[in-house]
Amino acid sequence: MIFVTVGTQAPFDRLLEYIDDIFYQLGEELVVQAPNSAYTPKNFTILSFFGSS
Amino acid sequence: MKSGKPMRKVLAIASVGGHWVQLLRLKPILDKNETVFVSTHKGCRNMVPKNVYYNTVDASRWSKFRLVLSFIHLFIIIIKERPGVIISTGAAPGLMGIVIGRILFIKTIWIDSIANVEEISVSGKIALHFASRVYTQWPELESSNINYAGSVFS
Repeated sequence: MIFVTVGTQAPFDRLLEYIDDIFYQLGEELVVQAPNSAYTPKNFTILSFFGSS
Repeated sequence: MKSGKPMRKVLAIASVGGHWVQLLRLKPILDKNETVFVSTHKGCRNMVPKNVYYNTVDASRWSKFRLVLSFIHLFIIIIKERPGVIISTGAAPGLMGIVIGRILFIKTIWIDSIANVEEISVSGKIALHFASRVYTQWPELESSNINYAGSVFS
């Protein structure tokens, strides 16, 4: 499993696009925290915030 | 309560994200006192279930109006809680807390984020004028008025 996270104040859509492009090469489950993103990935879902419960 | 000094209430404030994570790294020490937490994302409340928690607006130097809102809200929180110490790991809302602490004669501690390796943060430089103590997490940045005592990850 690969955990991807970006900063809390600004989006980082370029990173999400790159990961989307190489998704099948990675062959791993992705967990992605990325708030305020304009980009919608084709291959994985984005969660805006992980809180512990 | 036993005789001697009563335990001081601590108000611990940090913006959500890395600043908040660094603040939570201090929780074992903070837990020795009654600690009230303040952050900027509702999800933070669940991370300190046994503490009083206030959620406030996120603000930065790029959102001046929100800085004013943050200042006013934090002022109300601090008046209500009357902490003996205010501690922050950043960023702008934490700095507001430090400034309010100075105004109200409350002891304040600024811990500059570990992300600031080359020089102390913009907020940290301002905090130097207001905080009772300022800490860096990098020995190279220690100076006459900036203390170094390790990092939150060591």
